Amino acid sequence: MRKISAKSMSFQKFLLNYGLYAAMVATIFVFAYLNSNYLTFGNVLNIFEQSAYYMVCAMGMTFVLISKEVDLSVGGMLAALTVLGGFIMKDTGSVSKALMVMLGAAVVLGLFNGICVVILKLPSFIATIATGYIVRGLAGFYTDGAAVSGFPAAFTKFAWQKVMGMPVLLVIAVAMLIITVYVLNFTAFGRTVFSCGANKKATKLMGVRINIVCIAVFVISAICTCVGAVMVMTRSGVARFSTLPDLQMQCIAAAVIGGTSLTGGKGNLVGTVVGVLLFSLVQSGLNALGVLSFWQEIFTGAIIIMATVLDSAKTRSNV
Amino acid sequence: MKSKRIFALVLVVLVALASVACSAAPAPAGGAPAEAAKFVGDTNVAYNPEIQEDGVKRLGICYSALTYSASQLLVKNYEKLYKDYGFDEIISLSADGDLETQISQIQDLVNQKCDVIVINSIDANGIASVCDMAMQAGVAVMAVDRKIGTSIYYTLETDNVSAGRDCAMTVADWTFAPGIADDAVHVMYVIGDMSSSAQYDRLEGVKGTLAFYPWIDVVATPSALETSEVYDAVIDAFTADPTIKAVFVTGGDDSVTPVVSALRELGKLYDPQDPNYVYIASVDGALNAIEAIEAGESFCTANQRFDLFCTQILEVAQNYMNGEYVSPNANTVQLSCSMVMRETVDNLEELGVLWARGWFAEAK
Repeated sequence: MRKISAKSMSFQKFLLNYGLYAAMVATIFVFAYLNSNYLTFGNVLNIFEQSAYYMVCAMGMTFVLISKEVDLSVGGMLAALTVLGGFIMKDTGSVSKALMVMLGAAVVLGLFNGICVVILKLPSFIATIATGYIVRGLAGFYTDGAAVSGFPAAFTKFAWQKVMGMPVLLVIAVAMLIITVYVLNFTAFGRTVFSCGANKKATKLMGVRINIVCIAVFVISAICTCVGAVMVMTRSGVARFSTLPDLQMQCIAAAVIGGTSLTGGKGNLVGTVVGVLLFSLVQSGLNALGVLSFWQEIFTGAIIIMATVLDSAKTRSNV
Repeated sequence: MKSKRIFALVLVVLVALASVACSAAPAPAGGAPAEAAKFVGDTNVAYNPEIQEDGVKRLGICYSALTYSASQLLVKNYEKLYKDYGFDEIISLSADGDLETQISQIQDLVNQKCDVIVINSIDANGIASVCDMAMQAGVAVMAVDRKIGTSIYYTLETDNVSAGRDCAMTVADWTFAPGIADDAVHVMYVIGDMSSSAQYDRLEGVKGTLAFYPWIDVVATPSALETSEVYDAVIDAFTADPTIKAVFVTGGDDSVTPVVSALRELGKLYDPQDPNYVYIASVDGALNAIEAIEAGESFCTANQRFDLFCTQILEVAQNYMNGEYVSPNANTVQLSCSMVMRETVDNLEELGVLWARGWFAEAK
């Protein structure tokens, strides 16, 4: 990537490169001006903690998008995993058993998605939508529409604990970020993910087993979804089959805002996390002002459009 | 290799900085004070001067969803009347039926230093932990229409078991009796969102009551989370069993209109005097249900007191702010319903009991 020196940087280039971060700072300033309780330490920590599960799921989505695929099963998978884990926890009282089963199920679902795309040659859009519907439907069937609750008290209290003053869910999200950044940016596997997204044919000709890489990114997305599912369960203390129906679109939106390209080959996990934070900052600010959720959806859509326009302009200017 | 070392170094620096920052950070706003044993009066609301003595009386409303007319009117009336009950500010939010959103909104309301938060829960157990956190942070949490699965300051709800029971008895006693029909009388329920305590209680009331009528058979119990699904559910049930005589709609009156439409489509919308009449029984007392009853399309609805959900909650909140506390031993109030039928609708309207036709509905 060509570095831009401070001397040659124009405002336009600054906007294209750092528009997201500028938007985040502007958002903070605007809401802090409008509401005196917005920019308090407690509220900022709150925003980070609320968006922890979203960050983790979006990290997984970033891997898939970079490889030029998409995973639309995130929401359904998360709901189904919470129901699965919920049943096990409720019946056995064992948190560790539930977590292991959830992780195993996530890996299986990730493999299923990957196999559908790689071996059955289904477009990832179709394969993952179908997976999402199937698993969410199964979760609804087995719960009869009711929520699953009755988890061990230690598990439901876990989300509200703090580690060195930081919410424990945020600490987990940061740990996941470190791990995923390392895998994506500092390993050979990570380089092959970018390479697959940029040019699958050329990557294959270089001797890379792109099928394995493709399956692996879906498994990574599923594992991230599983971690997100655990976070959701411990925060709410219940498992519902209808939870977070639009999570996959929100993850895609955050990734795109963070600089991940929908055409593959380009992505930035830190940018994804910043994208998540931008949405969360806007949502919290609008909540503080008592703005109804309908307007929040309008704002969210507007942010997505602006981010996509910026990204498109950046690509055209070859920055 | 060099970049890996730099990455590791940056990581170590970040962790060190975070540790220093966290240890130096002030206590989060709205957090419980060091003397955690102090409570407000004889309540279970923690004493927190940051919230309770900041000089601003702030009311927070967190509603499950505003897709229903009663919910919309209730929130609008809170926004219209909060100043009359001594509050300076109101923040009203709707979670659009998403539990995660509601949890986040409650946290936001706590951070906004609301003195009282009124919650219509999406899931009674799902928000229990965050409500505990809110009470420990010094916010008086009140539940309206639906329970919350933990000890809060005040709960005002309808006796939904009784509402379901009244619906079932009204249909069963007034219409069906042993010896009238040679065969069993077939009925169906349309079930709404079972994670709602109100829905669950209504269904328990209906089921428990119908069990005492051995000649009544429940032949279909479809779930319809959205009103758009209700129409299809009724069409499917009647296609499978055209002899169904009654439809119990436990999800709320917004489902009555699609049930009526489905019966019209099936050619089963008869005059009330016709022996083939299909009885529709519902809960809420919404305008569409009352009009359907007056037109003879629906049979009865258990009228909830959404108007009292507004005034009583605001009154209790005002009393709390003025130091007149509700004791933890007497903090759950259940309101009963009145059965709205063709014979009773005028009388109930005169008494001012019908929220859909009184001052409450003028907040549109």
